[in-house]
Amino acid sequence: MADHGHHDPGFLGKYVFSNDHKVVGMQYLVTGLLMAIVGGYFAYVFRMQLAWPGMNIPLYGQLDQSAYNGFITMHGLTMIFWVAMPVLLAAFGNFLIPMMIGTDDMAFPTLNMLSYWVFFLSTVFLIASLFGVNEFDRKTGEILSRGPYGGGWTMYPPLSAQADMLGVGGYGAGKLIPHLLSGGNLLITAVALEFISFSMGGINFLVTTINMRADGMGIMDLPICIWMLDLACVDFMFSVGPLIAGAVMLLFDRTLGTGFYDPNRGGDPVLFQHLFWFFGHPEVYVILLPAIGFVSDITATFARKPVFGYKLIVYSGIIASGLSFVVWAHHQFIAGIDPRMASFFSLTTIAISIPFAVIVFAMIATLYKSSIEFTVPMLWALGWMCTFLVGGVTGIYLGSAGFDIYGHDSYFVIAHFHYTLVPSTLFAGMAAIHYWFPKFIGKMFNDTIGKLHFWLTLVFFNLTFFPIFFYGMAGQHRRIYQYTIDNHPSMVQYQPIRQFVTYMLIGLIATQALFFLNMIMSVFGGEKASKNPWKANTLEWVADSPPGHGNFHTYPKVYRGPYEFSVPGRDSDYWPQNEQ
Amino acid sequence: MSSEARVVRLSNVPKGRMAMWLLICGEIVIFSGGLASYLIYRVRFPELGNVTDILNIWLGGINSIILLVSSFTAVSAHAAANRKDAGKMAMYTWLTVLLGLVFVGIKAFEWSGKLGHGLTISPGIFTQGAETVDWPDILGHGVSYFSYYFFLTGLHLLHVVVGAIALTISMLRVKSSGKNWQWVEMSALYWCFVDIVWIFLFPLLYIVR
Repeated sequence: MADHGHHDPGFLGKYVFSNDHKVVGMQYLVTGLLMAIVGGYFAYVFRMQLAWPGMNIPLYGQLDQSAYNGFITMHGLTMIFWVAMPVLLAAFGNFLIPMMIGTDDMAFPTLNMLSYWVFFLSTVFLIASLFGVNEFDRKTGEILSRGPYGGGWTMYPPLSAQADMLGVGGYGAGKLIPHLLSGGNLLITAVALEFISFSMGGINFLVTTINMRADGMGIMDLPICIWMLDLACVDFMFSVGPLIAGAVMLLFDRTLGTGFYDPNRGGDPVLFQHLFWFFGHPEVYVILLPAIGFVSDITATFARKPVFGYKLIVYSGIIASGLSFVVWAHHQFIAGIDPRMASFFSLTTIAISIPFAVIVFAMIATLYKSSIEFTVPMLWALGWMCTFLVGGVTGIYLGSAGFDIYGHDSYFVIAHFHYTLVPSTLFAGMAAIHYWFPKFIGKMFNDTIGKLHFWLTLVFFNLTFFPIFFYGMAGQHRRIYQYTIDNHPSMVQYQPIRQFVTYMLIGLIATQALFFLNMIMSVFGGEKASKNPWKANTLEWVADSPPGHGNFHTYPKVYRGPYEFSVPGRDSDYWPQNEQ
Repeated sequence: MSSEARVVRLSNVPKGRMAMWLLICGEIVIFSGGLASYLIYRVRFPELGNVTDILNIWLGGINSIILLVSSFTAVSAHAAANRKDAGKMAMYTWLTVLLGLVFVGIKAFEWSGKLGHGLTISPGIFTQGAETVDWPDILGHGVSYFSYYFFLTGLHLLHVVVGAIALTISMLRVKSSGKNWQWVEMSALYWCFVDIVWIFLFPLLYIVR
């Protein structure tokens, strides 16, 4: 029996310091969704400034230049590290890995709990960094202004490596604390803690998948979702190291006055860019691969057809994960790298689009001649395919050094990566939440509100980000507080488009209220979910909805792959993995 | 489409050992980042050439031998744990930790010598009241060689301390409970990794010209 013996762990043990992978997953999910509200708020504030410079922004007030820089920085960091990663990788990795491989919990449940609480601590540091010290009087130590770090989410030196707060007298009494609590230092600490948290999670995910699969489940019987989550962990764990070293060096530059990155002190600013992007680019796939996993699984279930080219998708994922380690310098084509190196990285970047193209073609082939059920999760999955395609295709433009030299740091880049990251987080994330919510909460979402939410989001998303391509192509530079006749004369004419984009963004954010409404309504009053509401094959649907502690009543045995839909000569059109 | 239960061989590596190897792989990438940065720095400034002469190669060499011997004792502790010989296991672990402490002591001696000559991780630090300090001419490019020296050896020293704590805790807990013998193996594995990192650091920091 896989049911654990009942002993009451108490409220704290059950919901707060819980070892149970489902509770840990839920904690990640809730934290991620709350941080999405924070990140969305940042976007709203600086978009208002761009549309109507100098206005008194509702819910904020006047945004000055350094606060503008702080908000764009924090928007990027929050959305990538505190929304996309916890929701896609940590929350669903925790939910799905033990359930889909048919076991009762993670390999190291306590490590799992710790990984969440380290992540929580990192969130506290992130929020504290919003109120970090910006300037203080070097003589008296008095704090003059507070605010978030404003050097861009990539934290490029030499700007970020300034130790100017060290001041005369170095670490005199009373001057130590304000200096150390600057927004940048708190931010670097927050990011470092997050890396520790996800490394612990990654080890746990990989060991669980390798060692704890159900009886009869070979690695080619794993749902694509699990493959992709694990590949994302591999990408993360083996790329983050140099940045951990690099972040410590950056922190030393800021606090001890070393010169690792400061050219005035013999350092090399481009070194940080290499260390950063060696991690930063695989990080993109850390977000993308789980999204591909969710969409593949959901597409197969609602197309009632086996996934087209299971092995093809898996091998493409493996190849893409491998290639992701050798594409990083395409972020640095104008950073003064050797042109021969630029050719190499252009080649690898364009090469990495091949496996992803294979995966998307395989998804389309799955849909071909299938009987599609347009449920809410399926709509989100199809929405991911359509929108991600735009982001992927524009990535090929930017991957070639020739175009990138023109497009670098323009709004074209902004539009491109919002078309990759937002579909992966919002569309694939919503697909996953709507698909697995009945399993983990035991309630069904309201279908009408769900569909309304999807269609409005699809329309507003495209209207928000597509116009950005136009003024990006026109050469509008990113990270500019205000486009005036003096600093960017040719960009003034695009003011109406900037205003339109801001209106649409407000629409996009407001639409998300429907989701939160739907979630709250479903949790408290939704229709009860059956064990297998979508008639899917994978093992998590064998357990109760919601699964109890220990997940399964008896450990399931696996007899076949995860996608045996519409098997000829069988009455029902699905064939769960555990059924003989 | 067969309905017979299939026999699938799961990995026969215990989960603790697998996790430790993954951790070590992750750590290797961290040290690679630091070492690569240092090597790029040395290549950028070939005129730094004999900067390594400033370090005492004998102290570094003795430390290398100490760590190598400590790896042997760590492995012996593991072998004793495999035989479930608690006494031998404890003895070899204590020996390993002791050698680790000697390593830390020699390192501290080296560091204090450098710091005493004003060779700190950066100018202006630990030197009250001065914004800039005159650096020995040999360094040429401000602070960076000793920044890297203190950064890399400091990072390694941190790992030595963590490894010694891990060895002590697992030895004490295994000895008192008589269970979880694999803990000795995991911490010994980690200790050997820390040793191997030093094998890379020593020539690159002390010898390479």
